[in-house]
Amino acid sequence: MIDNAVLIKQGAEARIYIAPFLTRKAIVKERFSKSYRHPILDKKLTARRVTQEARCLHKCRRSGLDTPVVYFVDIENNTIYMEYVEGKTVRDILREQSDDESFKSKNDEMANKIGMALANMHVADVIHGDLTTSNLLSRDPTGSLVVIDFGLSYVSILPEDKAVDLYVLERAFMSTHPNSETMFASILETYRKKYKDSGPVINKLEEEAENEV
Amino acid sequence: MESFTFELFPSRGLIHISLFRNVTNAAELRKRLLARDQELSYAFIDARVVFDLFQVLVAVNNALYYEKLEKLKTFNVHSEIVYFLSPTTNITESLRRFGISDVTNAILVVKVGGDATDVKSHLSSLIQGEMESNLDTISHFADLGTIKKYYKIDNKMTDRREILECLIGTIAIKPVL
Repeated sequence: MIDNAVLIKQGAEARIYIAPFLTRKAIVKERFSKSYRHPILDKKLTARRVTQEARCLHKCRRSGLDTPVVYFVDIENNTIYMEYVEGKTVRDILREQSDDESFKSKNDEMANKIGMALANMHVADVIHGDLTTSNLLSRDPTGSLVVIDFGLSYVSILPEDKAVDLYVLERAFMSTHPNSETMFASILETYRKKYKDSGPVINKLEEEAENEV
Repeated sequence: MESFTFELFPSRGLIHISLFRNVTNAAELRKRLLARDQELSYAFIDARVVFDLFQVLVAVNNALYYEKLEKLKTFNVHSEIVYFLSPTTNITESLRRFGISDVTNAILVVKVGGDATDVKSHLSSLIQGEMESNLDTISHFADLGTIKKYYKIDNKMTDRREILECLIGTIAIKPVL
């Protein structure tokens, strides 16, 4: 690890540091091995995960989605060095707001950006795997919507997989942000408009909703 | 010339980067490179394909990493730098596109290790051209059309920052593609 790296987050899968890297400020994401797995299998699986995360991040960026830029993949140490994005999570932004009407238009704008980002990502056939409002950032100072943490991401063309992505985000919205039904509905509306093959995805999502009742 | 320490490879010493313009002896340099002349232990990069210093730093970082792992794909760490600037794994094509040609007149030179003064004076005797005092002018020599073509960047992408970030990512993930 870089000498003056600062640990900012310790998760179940990885440690996140901020560190200076080649004249820039970087996020360093180090996956650790899981001791309950066989060492050889663990090394293989972790390396594959790291590779997949880096690839998905870059695939999204190439197709116009705002994601952290990958700077370096240290495959031996299961570590990805990437752009440090200055900004706030959508989760924090929404939590700071009161139910005040004046925030309504702001949220519409936010919903629009989120819908657009998800559409972009799914057009590129990237499934995020862990969409929550903490994994969506508003970049300072542009306000561009950044999708982060591709730790569970993979590539798939299946509408089912894309629907699950949306479903996970919907659950995240409902559980962390009360009264956000309208906002999620407008996210879907933009998603539908911007992603021309979204029909089967939306159908799957609706099927899922019916099963719940 | 500017010198850098790489956070992950402090033991490799300073990495010196310099920029030459109005170079007249590229053909001679290229000939000596092809003959594996040991005196030329530098990475000579065609400045037309360099968009930003950070692009070069990311490629150098990859080269140092694979040198440390003893998994170089080319002859040495310097040719590896040129190889890593290229998005493709085709070595000949990478070196041809990102290295110097007989008609190159602006060259970006990278030297791994060594004393700054020594490197500077050696380069001045080696290259017939004018050394820029710093690297701020690096993008003046960039040929955006060629860069976009080599890195397969969508023509719709016009924002300079966005283009830069896109090619940085491309270089960074080359080894895991």
